[in-house]
Amino acid sequence: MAVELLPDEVIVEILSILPAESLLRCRLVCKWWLTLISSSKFKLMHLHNFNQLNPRYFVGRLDYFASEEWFCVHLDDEAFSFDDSTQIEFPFDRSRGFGYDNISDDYKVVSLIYDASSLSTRPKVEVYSVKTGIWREVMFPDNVLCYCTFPMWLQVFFNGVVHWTAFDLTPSFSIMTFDITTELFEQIQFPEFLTEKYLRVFVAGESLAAVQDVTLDRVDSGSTYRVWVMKEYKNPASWTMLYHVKNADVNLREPLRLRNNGDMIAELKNRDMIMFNHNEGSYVNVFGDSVEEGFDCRTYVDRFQESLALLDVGDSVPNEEAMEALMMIEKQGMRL
Amino acid sequence: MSKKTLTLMSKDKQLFNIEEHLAVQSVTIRNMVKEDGASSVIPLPRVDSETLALVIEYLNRQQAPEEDEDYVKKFVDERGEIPTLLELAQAALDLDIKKLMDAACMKVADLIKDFTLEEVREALRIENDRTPEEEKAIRDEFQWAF
Repeated sequence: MAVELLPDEVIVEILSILPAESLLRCRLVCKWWLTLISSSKFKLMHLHNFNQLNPRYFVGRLDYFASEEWFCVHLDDEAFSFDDSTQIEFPFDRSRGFGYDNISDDYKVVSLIYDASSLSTRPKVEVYSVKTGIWREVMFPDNVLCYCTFPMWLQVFFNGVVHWTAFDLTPSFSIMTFDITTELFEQIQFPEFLTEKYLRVFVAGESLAAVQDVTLDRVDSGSTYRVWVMKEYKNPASWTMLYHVKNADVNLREPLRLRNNGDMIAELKNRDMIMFNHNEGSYVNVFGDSVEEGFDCRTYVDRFQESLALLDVGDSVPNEEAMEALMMIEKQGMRL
Repeated sequence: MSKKTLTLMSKDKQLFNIEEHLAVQSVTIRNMVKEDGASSVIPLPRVDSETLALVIEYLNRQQAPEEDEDYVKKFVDERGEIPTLLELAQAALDLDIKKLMDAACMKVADLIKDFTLEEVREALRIENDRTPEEEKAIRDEFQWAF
């Protein structure tokens, strides 16, 4: 009996959830698969489907004196496990954003360089394209008033747009955005009831989210945080409170990231890392402490995304600036 | 209210009965019911009787919604053979039962991710349409991936 062919939809569905490494090999299976796997439409589908099924995170610990350590970790079984570790340099004078432009099939790094002596000066902006290997200067617009942000407040890349938590000199908080395709800056305002307190922007599943610190006195009362989601992108009226953490006993130091379901990954005062289950109001310890006493560092967590978008760097030796950009990419989960 | 029953026919002409309120988990059947009441037999020309029996078993499950995800996973896990899973995926595609389709594809992906090229071709019924020379050329180009 002749073998019956499978419908294309079944093949595409299966391929879209294979690891990038398997897919790189699978380009040799037949001509159709090579075309499919190389197409930008499939790359996007894979980016979405694979990472949806395999949510993974990076944990970074930044030593204020020297370098930064990054660990590749998994979060599927509610515990972090080490995969790999690298150390990279971390310049303090700039904030950076990074994302994939699916129109030009290119990775871009955007660098905001601040004048350390004057916060009232708008940042100088440089954009690096991995495809061209060139840094270009981009004008920072006058109408974006909230332009101050800190390097250690990591960006969130969402909807093709880089988002930073930003503040102005009053100070009030807002979201500064950079569209990775059009290279335009914009500002997303918070509604009034959100602007007063310390805020951090995150992503929870398919929504932009923010964690608001409403602690009255950080030292005595323990921290209280509210987690908000923006149900409809760019609609300030759609901010909805998901839950709040009132934690006299937990003793949170800082929220680090939100999971797809809105659960908070946070650092405790003793530097342990926890994952807070907001439905049950319980938490699990996911990452033990390895910090010596008196050692000052900062921890952060970012999503690790596996992607098929390949870098056409060939055999040439990338220059220093390109290497810096590639480091960013590696953090995002690009395999070179 | 009496429960309405539908009849599905596999490609080898076997008939299966299923209650309508369960059958409409399939978007394909739901649309047919909406259009003409689907009083007669619904033919499924690409689904063999063994696979259809599995699909019916799946549609008949009595699962609390919050345990449904785990149930689907377990359901495909217990039928871990690639050919069965592919038949199931194809039937779920034709009947438009998204959860079953996703779960079957996920299981297949998990099984084949470390396969060699030849094993992948055999599992997914793909013919190699490159000559050995062409294959070598492309293998050289992507050398770093192997």
